[in-house]
Amino acid sequence: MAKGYLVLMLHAHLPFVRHPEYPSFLEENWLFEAISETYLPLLRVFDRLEADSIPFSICMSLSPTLLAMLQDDLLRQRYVTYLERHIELAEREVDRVQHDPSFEPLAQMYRDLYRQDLIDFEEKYGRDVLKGFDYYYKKGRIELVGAAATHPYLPLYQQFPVMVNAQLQVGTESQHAYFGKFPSGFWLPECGYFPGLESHLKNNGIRYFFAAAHSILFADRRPPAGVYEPVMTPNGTVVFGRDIASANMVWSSEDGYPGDFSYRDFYRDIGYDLPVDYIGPYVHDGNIRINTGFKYYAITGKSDQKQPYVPRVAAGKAVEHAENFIYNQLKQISKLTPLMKQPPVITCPYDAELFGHWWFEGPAWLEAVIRKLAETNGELELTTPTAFLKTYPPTTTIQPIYSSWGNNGYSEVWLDGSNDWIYRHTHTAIERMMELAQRFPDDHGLKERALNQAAREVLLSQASDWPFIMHAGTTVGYANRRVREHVMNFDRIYEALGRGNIGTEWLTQLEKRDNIFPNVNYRVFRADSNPVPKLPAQLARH
Amino acid sequence: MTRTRLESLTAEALERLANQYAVDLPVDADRESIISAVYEAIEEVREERDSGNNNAIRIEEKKYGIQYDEQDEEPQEGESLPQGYNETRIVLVLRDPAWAFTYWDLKETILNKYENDPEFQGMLIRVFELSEASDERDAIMDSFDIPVQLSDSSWYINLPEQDTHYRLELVSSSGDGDEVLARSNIVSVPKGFFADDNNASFQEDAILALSGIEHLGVSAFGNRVPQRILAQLDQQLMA
Repeated sequence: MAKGYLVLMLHAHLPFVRHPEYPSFLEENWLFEAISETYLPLLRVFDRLEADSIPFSICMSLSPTLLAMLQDDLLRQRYVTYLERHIELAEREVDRVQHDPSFEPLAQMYRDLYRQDLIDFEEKYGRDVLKGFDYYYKKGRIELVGAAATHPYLPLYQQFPVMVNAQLQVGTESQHAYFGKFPSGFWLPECGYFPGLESHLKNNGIRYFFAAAHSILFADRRPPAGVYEPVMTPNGTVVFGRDIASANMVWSSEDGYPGDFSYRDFYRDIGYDLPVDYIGPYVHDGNIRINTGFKYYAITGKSDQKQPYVPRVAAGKAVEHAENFIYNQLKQISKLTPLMKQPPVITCPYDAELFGHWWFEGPAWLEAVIRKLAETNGELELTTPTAFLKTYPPTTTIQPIYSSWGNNGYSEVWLDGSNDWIYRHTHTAIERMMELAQRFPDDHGLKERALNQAAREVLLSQASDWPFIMHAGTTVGYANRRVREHVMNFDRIYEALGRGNIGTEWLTQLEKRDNIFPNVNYRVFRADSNPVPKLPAQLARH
Repeated sequence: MTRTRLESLTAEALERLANQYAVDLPVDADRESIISAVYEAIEEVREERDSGNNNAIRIEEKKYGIQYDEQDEEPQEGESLPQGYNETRIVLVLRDPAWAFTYWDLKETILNKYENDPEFQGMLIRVFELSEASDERDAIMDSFDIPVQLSDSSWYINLPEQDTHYRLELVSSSGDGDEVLARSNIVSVPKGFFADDNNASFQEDAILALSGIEHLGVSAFGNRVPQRILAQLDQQLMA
C-alpha cells in the first residue's frame, strides 16, 4: 500500500475564438500555440511512457470550448497553415543562423518540432488531436473530468441557478458527445465555488470536484485532515482541496521551478528581435510585432542580458526538478502520515497550458515526475480521484466557502473597475433567455433555430476569459468586443422573436460563425427544465 | 504596448493614450518625449497590475500572451450596448468577504420624473445586514445608507461584517419621505478565515500548519492564526 497519493489534474481550456469572416485572425493563434506547445507535446509524453510500460494515471479536463475548436474543420485547416508558415520560418532561420554554434541547433530544434507537429497532426491524428486524449481516456490512463460549457466564473452568476445548470448540462453533454461518457468529476472554472453549487453538480451526475485550499480550510468547521483528504459537501458531493505547498513549487515564476535560469525565456522572441524587413511575413499585418514562438535565449537572470538557450542543460534541470518535487512530496507525506488515519492525498491542479507554452520544459518535467514516481516502489503513487475514493471514501462533511484560486482568493480578478460593466448585460441576457424559453416552450423550425442561437450567444458572453483579459489589460479591445457582440447578437434575436420577424440570412451567418454546441437545446434555460443528463449517469460511468 | 508599437501610432492615438494613462505632458512636448512618457506610464500600470497577481493568474495570462498591443477600439455607431434596459432594479454581487458590487437601473419615466421634480432630494442605497438569507423583516439586524447620484448606476460597497448576509434597497428620497424603488437579491458573506476550533486536536493543528497556510495568498478577515498553530508552523519550518 502506498504511503501517500498524488492527484495531478491538468485543466486545458481556451475561449471559443473562431472568425471565418476574416482570412486569418490573430487571436486564433492562442489555440495554435497551445496545440503546438502543450497538447501535442503532452500526448508525446504519454506515448513515450506507454512505450516504456510506465504506468500513469492523471486527471484532465478539456473545456467544451476547447473541444469545439479542436473538432472544427476551419480551425484545423488554419492550424495546418500556421504550421506550414512556422516550418517555412524555421527553414529560413536555419539558413540565417547557420555556422552559429549557439543558435543553429536551436533553429533546427524548432524546425524539427514544427515538422513533427505537422506529421502528428495530419498523419497520426488525422487532424483530430482529441483522438490522442480519447485513446488514453479509454485505456484508463487519463480520467477526464467535465467543465462548464463556456468557462464562466460561476460565483458571479450564483443568483441564476437555471443558467448555472445550463452551463453544467451543456458542458457535460459536449464531453459525452465526443468521448461517449458523462464525467463523474468536474473542474470549476478558476476554481470558482459558491455554497450550493454542489446541488447543480449532483444534478448533473457529478460525484467530485476541485476547490481552492481555503474553500475547505475556511469552511464552517475545520476538516481534520486539511486538504490532505477529500471531504463531502452537505449533499454528498466530494471536494478535493488544492494543495498550496506543492503548487508554489511549480507555479511560482520566481521561487518555483519554471524560473530556473537554465530554462527557456518566454519573453525573448525573434518576433521582436529581428528586423521587420525579415520577420514581417511572420508577424501581424506584416509589420506589427508579435511572439512567433522562436525563442533562443535562456532566462539567465533578472537582467536583459540573456545567454543562448541550451536544451541539454535545461533537460537535465527538468529531471533534477522532478526529483526535487518528489522528494518534497515524500517529505510532506512522512510528516503527515503519523497525524492521519489514512494515507494523505496531495491534489495538484494546474493549467495544462503552463506545460510547454509558458514553461517550455514543463512536459519534460511532467514526464520525469511520472518516471521517477514509478521508481519510488509505490511509496508515493499517482492516482485519480475516482480510484482514490473507491479505497478511501470520505467521512467528513463540511460546507466549503465562496472562493476561487484568483488574487486574494475570491472574485477580484473577474469583478473590478475594468470589467464590472459586463454583468449588467450578461445578467439581463440570462433573464431574457429564460423568458424566451418560457414564452416559446416547444417551437420548431426557424424559431427554434433562433432560440438555440440565442442560447449559444448567452453562453458565449459569459466566458471568464473576457473579464480576465480586461483585468489583465492585454487584448482588452478584443475581450470588450466579444462580450459586446454576443450580448448584441442575443438582443437582436430577442427583439426579433418579440416582433415575430427573424432575418434568415443574418441568422444563418451567425450560426455559421458562432457554431459551438450544434446540439444545444434552448429549453435548458427553462426554469423547470430537467437538469439530469439524458443518459442515466450510472450507465455512463467507467 | 511596446515602444515600437507606440512609434507607429498617429498623434491623435498617442494623445488618447496619454489621456487614458493620465500622462501630464508639457505643451511643447515633441513626439519622441510623448512616446517615452506614454510608454513609461503604460509600463508602470502593467508592473503594478502584475505585482498584484498571484501565480495562478500570472500563468493564466500567458495563454493570451500574443503580446500584440492592440488599441482599445471605440465601438462604432450601433455597436454599443445600452446604458440600461429601461427597468427599475438593483442587483447585488459579492466580490469577497469585505466588498460587494451593486448595479441598478431606473425606468426612463422614473428617471425623468426625478430629474424634473423640485421635491426630489436624492437617491440612496440602503444596505441591510440580515441574520439569515430571508426576505422577512425580522431578519434585519442592521442597516446603513449610501447616498448616490441620479447619474450613478453602480457602486462598490464595503461590507462591515463577515459571516452574515446582505440585501439592498434602491431608495429615492423626497419631501414626501423615502420610497423603495427596488430590492436586490441577498448575498451570503463568508467568514473569510479559519473556523474557531478550540477543541482541535494537536494532530489537526499540525496538519493545518503543514497545509501551506503561510502561502495561501488569501485576504484574511477576523481573527489571526491561533498561536498554537503558529508555533507548529515554526517547528515545521525549522524541521
